[in-house]
Amino acid sequence: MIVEFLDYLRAHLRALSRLGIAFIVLLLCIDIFVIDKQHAHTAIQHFPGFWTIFGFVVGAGLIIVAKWFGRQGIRQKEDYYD
Amino acid sequence: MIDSGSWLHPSVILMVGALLLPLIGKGAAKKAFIVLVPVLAFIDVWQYSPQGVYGVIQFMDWKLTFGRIDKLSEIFAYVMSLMCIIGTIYSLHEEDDRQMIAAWFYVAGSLGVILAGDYLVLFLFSEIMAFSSVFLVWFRRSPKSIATGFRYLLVHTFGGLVLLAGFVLRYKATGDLSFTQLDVHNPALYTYIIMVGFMVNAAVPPLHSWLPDTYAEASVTGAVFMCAFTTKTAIYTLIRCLAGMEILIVFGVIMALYGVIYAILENDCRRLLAWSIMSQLGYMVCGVGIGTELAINGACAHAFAHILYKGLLFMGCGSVLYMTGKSKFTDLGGLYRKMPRTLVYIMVGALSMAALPFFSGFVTKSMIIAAGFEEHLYWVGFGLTMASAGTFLYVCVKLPYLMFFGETRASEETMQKAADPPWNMQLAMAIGAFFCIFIGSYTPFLYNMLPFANTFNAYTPMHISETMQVVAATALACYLLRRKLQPTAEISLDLDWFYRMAGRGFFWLAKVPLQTIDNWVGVIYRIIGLGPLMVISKFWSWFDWNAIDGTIDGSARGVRGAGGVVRRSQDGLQASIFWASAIGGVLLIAYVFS
Repeated sequence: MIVEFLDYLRAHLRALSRLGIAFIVLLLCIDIFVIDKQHAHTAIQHFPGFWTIFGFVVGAGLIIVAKWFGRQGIRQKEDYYD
Repeated sequence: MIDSGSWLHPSVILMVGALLLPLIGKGAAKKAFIVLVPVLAFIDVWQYSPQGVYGVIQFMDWKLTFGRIDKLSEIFAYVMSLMCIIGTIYSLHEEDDRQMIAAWFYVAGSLGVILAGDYLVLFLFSEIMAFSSVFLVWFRRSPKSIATGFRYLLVHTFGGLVLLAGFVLRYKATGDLSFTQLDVHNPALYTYIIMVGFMVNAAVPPLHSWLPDTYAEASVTGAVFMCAFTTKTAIYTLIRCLAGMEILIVFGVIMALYGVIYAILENDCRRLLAWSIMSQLGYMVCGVGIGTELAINGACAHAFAHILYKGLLFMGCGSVLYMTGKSKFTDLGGLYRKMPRTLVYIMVGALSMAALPFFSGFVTKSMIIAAGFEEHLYWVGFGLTMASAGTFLYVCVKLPYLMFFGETRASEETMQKAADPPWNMQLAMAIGAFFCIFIGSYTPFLYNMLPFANTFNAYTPMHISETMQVVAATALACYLLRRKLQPTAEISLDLDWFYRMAGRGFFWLAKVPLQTIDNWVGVIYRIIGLGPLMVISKFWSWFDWNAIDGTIDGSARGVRGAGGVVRRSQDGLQASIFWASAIGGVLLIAYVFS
């Protein structure tokens, strides 16, 4: 059952990615029009869609920083210590 | 402290169970016994350990307290004995008793630390913990795990000695051995030393390298136990004596992000999980440093949730390793058709760790972040939220994608071996998954156990919206940068490089210069020393035999006989010297403490 479901999802990857984009847009709309931000701790959290921007920048930033860090001699061959 | 009456220490149940295990026969009765022991220990913690002080024993000048049960120790003892049941069920297929014995002694050590009321008892049990857990690494029986086990032992011996130095200094200064909150606003030297001792166990940088080193090399079932106990016991000890120690906030945030960076780079699935332990511990260490009621509640709650979801993730990745013999992403991929149930369990653990609504991390991690914002430590709040985005990235996207989806990098043989694991492993994962969802969905279960009365509500529209936005945007970033997440067959160097290389340097020193000098000395001795010495001794031998013995007949032989007697008596003397020095050592320690 699990396998069939996953196969079905994999067969419709394009629709799935569109659904994902729609979901992000929906979340943005909810953030801008619905959520009461009275209890936010900082001014920047009142910026429309702040956490979406934050998530995207941080997600991309972490991957890029980690890869850069790995290239500074941190990543070595597996037999390095042997 | 006053004894509140009779009480059975749960560690006693586990230790007695471990010692009886080899005597129990085979088959179903044995399996029943194996499950019964941790269940009894859990019932003991859950039902028969009301709050109070138990097991107070007078030992020389000190009152040792084996059982201090309050809200704080209760919640940790509860989740640890629960995890012991899950881990035991997961290990039920193991034929080797010794693995189970080591695991139970290890849990007994952790429970002993949690319930200890003074530093001596705490020290005793933390040494039991270190020495029994190293066997969980060695039982993997690979050359790598042997070396790793020794490194682990060395690091924890070092940590234990630092802790010992800290509490002995404190005892000298205050005459107090009780394990209670230290004055964190006016820290003395011993406060810092005790902190460093606990930081080793909590894997706080720069003392963290043992953690990924060990957990990735431990046996499949051993890692499930190890990931739950050592570090969370350390979090408990930090909460108990160093709540509000501000420097821990900085350490915590660094830790949370450090673990994320290394986890993103990692190629071995269990090593990735080990890095993620470090990252998640960062939240708890940070909570300890903030030290408010909300932060301490958050640290306890997150430790509770963490033990269960991290156990679940280690069980999931352990299942893959157990079935296929592979744990590297470069050897895996596309397994979902072969191991669908394992995938579901791993996803429950991953979603819990990434703190999505209805999963356990959502209701616990946010308490610490909220505590940071409430204390106006905005960099902490944002720093930890960054780590949360990173957590989602490597555990919800990278880990399942590289193991179960995408193009497979697995060999034909690996693919053939892959299947969902035996029933007991699946049952253990199902129990773990149940608790992950239960904690996240029915909050009073965990919130009512917390040390302080809880006023925090995770399910506000703002919090749900924030979490979902961060997660969805991070997923989008991952999708766009997916090529960068492809695994490479490499390892990451870490701070253990320094001691591994220092060890190698020492080895080189012994092997090359010292051995060369030794050889030279040998050569010089042979040339200059030995030749003339032989000549001289030959002369004296001739002189002795012919001149002296000729005069005083037989006296040399008499001396030789006497020499034999002296030699024999000296053997006895050496034994006496050993015992005298041992007793002297004990007396010296007693004198220092008196």
